[in-house]
Amino acid sequence: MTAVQQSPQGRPEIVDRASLARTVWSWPGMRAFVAVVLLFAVSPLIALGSVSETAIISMLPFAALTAIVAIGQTLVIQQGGLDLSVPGAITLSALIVAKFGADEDWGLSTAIVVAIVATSLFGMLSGVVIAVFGLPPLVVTIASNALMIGAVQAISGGFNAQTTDELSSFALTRVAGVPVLAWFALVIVIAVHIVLKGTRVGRRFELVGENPRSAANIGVATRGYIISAYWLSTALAAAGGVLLAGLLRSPTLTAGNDYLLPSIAAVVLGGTALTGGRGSIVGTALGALFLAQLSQLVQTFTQATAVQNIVQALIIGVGIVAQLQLGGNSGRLKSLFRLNRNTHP
Amino acid sequence: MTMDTALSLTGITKIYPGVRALDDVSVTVAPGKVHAILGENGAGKSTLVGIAAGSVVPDAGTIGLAGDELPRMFPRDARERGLAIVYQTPALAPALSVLDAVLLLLPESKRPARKNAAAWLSSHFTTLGLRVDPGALVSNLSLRDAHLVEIAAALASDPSVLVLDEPTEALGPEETRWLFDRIADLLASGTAIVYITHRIPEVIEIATDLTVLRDGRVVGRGLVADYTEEQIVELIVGRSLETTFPDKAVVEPDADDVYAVTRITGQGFTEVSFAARPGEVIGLAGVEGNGQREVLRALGGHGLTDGSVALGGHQISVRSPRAAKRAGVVYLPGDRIGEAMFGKMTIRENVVAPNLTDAMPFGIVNRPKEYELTRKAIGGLAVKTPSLETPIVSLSGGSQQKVLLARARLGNPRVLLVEDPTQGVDAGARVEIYSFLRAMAASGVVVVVLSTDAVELEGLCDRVVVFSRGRVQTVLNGDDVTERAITGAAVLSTDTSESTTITADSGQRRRRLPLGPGGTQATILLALALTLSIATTLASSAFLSPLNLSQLLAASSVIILVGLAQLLVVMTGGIDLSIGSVVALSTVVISFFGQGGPGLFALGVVLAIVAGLVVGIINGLLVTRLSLPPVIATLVTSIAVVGVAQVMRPAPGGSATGDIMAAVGLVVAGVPVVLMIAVIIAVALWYVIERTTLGRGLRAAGSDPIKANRMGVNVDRMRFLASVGAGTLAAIAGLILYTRTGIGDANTGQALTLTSVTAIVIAGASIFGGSGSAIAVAAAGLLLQTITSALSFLSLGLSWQYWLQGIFVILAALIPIVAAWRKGRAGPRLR
Repeated sequence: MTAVQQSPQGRPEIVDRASLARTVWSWPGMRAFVAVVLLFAVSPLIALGSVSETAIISMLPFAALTAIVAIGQTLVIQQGGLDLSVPGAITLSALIVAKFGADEDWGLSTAIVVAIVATSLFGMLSGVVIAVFGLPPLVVTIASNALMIGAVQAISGGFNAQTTDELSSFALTRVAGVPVLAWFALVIVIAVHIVLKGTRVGRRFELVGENPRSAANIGVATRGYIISAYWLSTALAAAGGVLLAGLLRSPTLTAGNDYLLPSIAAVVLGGTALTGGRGSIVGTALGALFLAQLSQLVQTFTQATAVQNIVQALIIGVGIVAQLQLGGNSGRLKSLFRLNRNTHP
Repeated sequence: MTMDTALSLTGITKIYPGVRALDDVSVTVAPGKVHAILGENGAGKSTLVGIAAGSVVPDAGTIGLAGDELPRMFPRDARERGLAIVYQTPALAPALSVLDAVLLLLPESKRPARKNAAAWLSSHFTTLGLRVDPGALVSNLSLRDAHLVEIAAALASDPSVLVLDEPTEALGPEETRWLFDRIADLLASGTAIVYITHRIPEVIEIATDLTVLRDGRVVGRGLVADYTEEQIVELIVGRSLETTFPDKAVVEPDADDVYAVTRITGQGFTEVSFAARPGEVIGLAGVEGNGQREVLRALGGHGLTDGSVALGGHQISVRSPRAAKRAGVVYLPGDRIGEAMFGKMTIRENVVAPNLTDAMPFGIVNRPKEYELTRKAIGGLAVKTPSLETPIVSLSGGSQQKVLLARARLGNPRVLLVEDPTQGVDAGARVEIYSFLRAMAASGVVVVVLSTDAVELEGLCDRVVVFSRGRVQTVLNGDDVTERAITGAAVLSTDTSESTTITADSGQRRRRLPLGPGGTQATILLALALTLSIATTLASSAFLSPLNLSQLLAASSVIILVGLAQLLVVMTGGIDLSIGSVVALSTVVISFFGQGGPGLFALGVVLAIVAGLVVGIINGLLVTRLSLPPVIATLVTSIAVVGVAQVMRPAPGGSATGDIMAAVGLVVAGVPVVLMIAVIIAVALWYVIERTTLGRGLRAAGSDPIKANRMGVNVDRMRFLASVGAGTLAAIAGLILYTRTGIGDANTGQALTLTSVTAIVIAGASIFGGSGSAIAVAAAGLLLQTITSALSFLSLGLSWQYWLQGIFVILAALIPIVAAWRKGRAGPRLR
């Protein structure tokens, strides 16, 4: 067979790709990008102080945390799942690093490593159960969240722990005027993006997410990719927990709860389809930035967390609906709660 | 519309992404006659009858049935108007019993009283000569029995129009005979029959009128008597057979086999052997469900348990798809969207997918190289697309299949296994695909084709292996490969086999427990609770004190109610994460009414329930109207609802007066009134779910939404009702929680969402939707509360409560799956 392109009469030549403008416009993160630009454009009109340097600097660490956690969530959603164990993972690792980081025998770096590695084992467990037995991701991650909350209760005995000054001052450091957490998030975004879009492993990961049965039929070992998604999600949530512990100094035993909905919302706003497959890491990061700025804006109006929660839930709800309706990919979502496509005989 | 018309479809057009499935099609069906709708796979036949039956919505045109002209039909309305349909794949929701399924399918006027339903169905089956257990689960039926059940249900509905979509595909000759006799009876009583098939002899035998579709257009219509068999075939194929199919291979008679399958065994087939000589195209045939599909899958790496496969004289391993790929075997499944394509990904990504090592030798993406490979792959095939970055799902069926074949060729396979190569492919592309497969074979690739179309096998294959009951019935060679011989062998085979008569018993006999399988589960859970209570009492006798016991029983009623709430939603295929928040909201609402008299308190009760109802309505609307995934919809409302509760009561407060607490804390004969309420609700819910049309609808919707819709269930309505029910039940749980704590607290109840999931999972409800016993959930609630209570007596901390729940959920969810694995090694089942 030769590589000559045969173009039958009357039919236009097949081009490699559509024009650059259309390619850029159809980028999944485009809507999130537009949303972020618009939000920052209208912010000063709503509240002048919301785009001041101080405001941005205080908003960025939270955007960064949401982004880090949401990248893990993106990986899981790419595999057609949903990780509801994010709160447990954040809380558990924040607690471990706070409680043992100050311990002389441990040292801060050991505590950080243990916090991330030990917590991520729960994610590995979820991944194995989901990939091997085909249980629905929702049920499994609800259960592993319970296991981690149990561990939180056991370790804490019901009391908050105080982080070391070392960690909290590090978390508040600025590099080149930008909070160090934002740099962390940026590095993670770039690294995950490159692996996902620029390597063979990343391509296979997206293929397995798009359709695990098709992937298995062309000889891809699908389970490893599914397990790694849950493992990485929990590991990233745990890393977020470590940074959160530094930021809050004394993380509460429910600290992670505030990050579940934002982590999912950031993914949806970022243009990754809930049905799995292709993901947009940059889109997710933009989604996280949007959510953080939004909550900043809401805070300028009311100090009551309850009201903030309501307003945010409403706006997030509207955003998700808009994105799903516009994206036209709201079908096939039942698969979220159905038998993993992978395990059918 | 005149009296001579039973069903009319006028100017019907239906467009799917990338394909015009039907283009201005009109068909008129007369009463008392069989009207055959003919066409190749994908010509639009099933779409057309789907539109008549209401399961497909047309883009243009009208449907005339029972005196009305409608722009679209709903499945329920079609059935009520006397149209019964038997789908190609039986549309019976797997989680239902045969009895439930039949009752759901019947129009209201024909439905027997519930009391006599079982007896009625048994006698109906006996009249028809069927021996299917009405209590068996649909998921336990064989494909054939499911077909027969669906036919029996259609007959019982005494239809004025009966649509049969490839009814004989899964039936043996005796059952076909039986079906034709039933059809004769119906014709005598003036029923119109729409008969879809690609078996021409059947058309000649029973049909009066015919309409032939090709690529979504009517290409022929008239009286069957005016056509010869050959003319009908040519109408269907659109050209003479000689120009459709490429020339066959010229093989030396004494050429050695290049591909030898020897005594392979797996699920659904036994000791299958056949071989191919160089340049040959091998066909696999047989009546549906006789093992030929399983054989093809096994050769592609799915489920070979015994036997050997040799290629070019050397054994190859096909124990997994990976091993098969390594050996040069490429398997192209018939379910293109589900098992072969990466739908939303581009042509480039689809082509490159199995060839990533070539495209990225160093593991790094190289776009230009990918384009080059893609162009090389699709070279010579007319793939209709504007660019290589077009998502494959938006192409026509023919172009999709060409892309898949192209990608297979790119990997230089040695064996190409293709299932239904022209399913959903237009006539033009068909010719191209045939010559592609022939060219592959000529270039030395072993090509094995499975097809349900005997004409296709005759035209394409040099050798056809016909299957029966999982074994090779016969192998046809050379000039013996004719449609007649293939169909004959397939049909003959079923005739001579031991016991494949219509009276063969089928379906597992279910033990008739008064409460069904849920009753057993409930008994086990209660026994566990009792055992745990005894064990705890031995460790600490205070456990058995009346105070503790009544505390325990009252507290369990909260878990029972949240479990029931979750059960409703999960049964319809969703999940509700807002249950804990609704409980909190409800306690907060009622806490404003606990300080006055009973009248005020009653008002509070009503308002709290209304609050739960409203949340349920919001959830239901988000899920059904805006198509939000249930998990996201309820997560959003959950956070908003807690916010509302916090705004109403920033700090816990609003304690109830002693009078009210005493009144609601009433204990009768050692049993708290609140527990009685919870148990009564559980029993009522059990009755609704198991014994009413609404309950059947709920279960069907969760079990398989597409089939449920075809059965006439309004799936969205079921989901909406489940959400509303869940909100209401969660609010009642909140009320009971308030009577326990006597305080309104917005931050309470979050853990109950987890508990609700735990309760339904250990109650044995299917987490995939479709089944679950409310009574078992009640028992599970009691067990969970016993555990919580026991933990404190055994001085185990709060952490154990979480750990046990987490472990319970995973283990209890695993048990049915592992059990299904062990059981699932026998015969084809309904998926």
